Amino acid sequence: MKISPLYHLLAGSLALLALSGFAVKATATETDKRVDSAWSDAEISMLRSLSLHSLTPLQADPSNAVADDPRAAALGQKLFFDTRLSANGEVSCASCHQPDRYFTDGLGQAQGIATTPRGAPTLLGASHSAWYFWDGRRDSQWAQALGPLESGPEHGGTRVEFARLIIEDPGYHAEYEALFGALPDLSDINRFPKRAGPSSDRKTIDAWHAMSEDDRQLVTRVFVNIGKSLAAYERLLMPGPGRFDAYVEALQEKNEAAMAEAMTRNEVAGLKLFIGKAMCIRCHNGPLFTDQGFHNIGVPFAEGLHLDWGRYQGVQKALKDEFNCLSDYSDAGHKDCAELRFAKTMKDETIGAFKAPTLRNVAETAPYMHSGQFADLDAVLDHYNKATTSRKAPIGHSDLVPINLATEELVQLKAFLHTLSGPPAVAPELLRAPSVEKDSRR
Amino acid sequence: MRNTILLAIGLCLGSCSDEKPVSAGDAPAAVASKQGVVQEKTNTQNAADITASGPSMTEVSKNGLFQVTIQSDEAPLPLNRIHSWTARITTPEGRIVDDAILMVYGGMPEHKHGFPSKPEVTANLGDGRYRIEGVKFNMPGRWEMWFNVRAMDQDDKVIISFDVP
Repeated sequence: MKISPLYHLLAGSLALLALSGFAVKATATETDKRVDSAWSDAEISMLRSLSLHSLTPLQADPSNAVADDPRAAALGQKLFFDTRLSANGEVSCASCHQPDRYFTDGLGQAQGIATTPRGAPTLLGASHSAWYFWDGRRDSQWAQALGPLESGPEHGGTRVEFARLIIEDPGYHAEYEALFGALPDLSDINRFPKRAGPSSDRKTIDAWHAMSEDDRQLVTRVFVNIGKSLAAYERLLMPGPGRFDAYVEALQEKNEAAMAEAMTRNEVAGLKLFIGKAMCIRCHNGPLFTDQGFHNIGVPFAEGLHLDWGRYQGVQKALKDEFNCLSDYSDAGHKDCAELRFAKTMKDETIGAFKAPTLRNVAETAPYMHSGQFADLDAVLDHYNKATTSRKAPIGHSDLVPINLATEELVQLKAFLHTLSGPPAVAPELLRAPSVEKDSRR
Repeated sequence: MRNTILLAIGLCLGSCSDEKPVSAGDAPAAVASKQGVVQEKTNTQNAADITASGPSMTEVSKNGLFQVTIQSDEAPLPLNRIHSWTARITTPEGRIVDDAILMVYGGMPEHKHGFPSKPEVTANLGDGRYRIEGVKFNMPGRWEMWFNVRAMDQDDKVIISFDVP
């Protein structure tokens, strides 16, 4: 599958798509159209590197043999919206990753069956990352997708229940077998208890360990293929261009009128700060405005939450993960697992670090930080602007350095961030449950 | 002189911390790379697999004992993607050093951070060439690769600076 032609096709036809619910800020006002277009060659090169046109085609995921199989994406899309994949029949992936909210939920701490400690990040462009979750405790998108399914406060299900759903739903059954071969027979309730899995509560964990190793593998294989199908769908979810991208295109064409149309003076000033004095570009670089890395920026703990070690623990979990790139459930060879094999584990550089999120659509996806510590962009910018040379952080050391922005500059920076909003570059039929009339309760 | 200054920065990047010294499992890059130290020929990768195509860069070590040439498998240097390099070690006179114990680390001195990954020397390819895997750059700008070289019963350090576009 090639993303690039799809992107161009979608980007070109976005104007035709009537996607309600996506707030894209209006273009520059008449009084505000004069543009300071004095960019150096180095700056222009930098701006080009941030444009969505510079997004390289999505790399293959060798750990998922069906990653780019449209049949897997079709199955994954159904699963994504299916609330039967939860203990109370009310939670689906789309509960927290809502398509009309840029695949977020507007909450600081995601709400599944109960409240979770961390926020649900957007899925738009997420497949370009090597690490998943805020602390990078999983190293593939399919392995990530499995986490919430078995997590008590999220979907709260068990892998035996999920495998049974695939077997017992005629549609899932047929689609699964066409992709992955024959499903196992789980009809013997003594061999395969109703609720059993290695996470969740004591009873389900005990039931899981009472099963034979072979039986556990039969179930886990189906569970893994659910994740691989979900990932195949999620790989199709890409952010769309915003006014910033139109500005860069106009800049390259030296079309001052189009530049003025795309971004106001204030927004352009904010962009200059973004790639210059404010140093945002250090971590929020590339067309997705993230280096996909982990950084300690001294964010306070969310109210009521304990000390969070972030990446320091996340990388240890990934190295031991039953679903990592080097595991039996991964389709990748040893050579394909460089990110895991050469993952940085040093305490000094990982403690208190969390993944730098994409800034695409950032103005639409409040609140911010890994547990929603900041309600709005003002609070975020205030946090960065308060950084001192002390590198003080609740745990470890903050990577932030003083930027000393004036109030007016903070306003400009915030204005620029609004130019990164744009409807997803996703076909409309992928933004909703595919089979509302049957199978799914939604 | 330039190398001395860079080395000072490099050493600080690798080991300076306000924190207590870390335990073995949490070692900084320089120490952690020990796992990748090549003590004997472990020709796990055929020379034919190597597809070095990036520009090659050469520096002489601080005390003038060795000359190190490095080359990336990829050109231009990729951003946010893990990839491999090859290092070639000779004496400044051009004699091949094929039994070096080599450690690699590095980072961005200007921003006081190391690599976002943990590069390691994974194979001695023979002919003075060594495989470096796990290199990743996460922002454009000036990066450095630092090498500790032990050969001929002597140690020396090399810093090679280059720009990632």
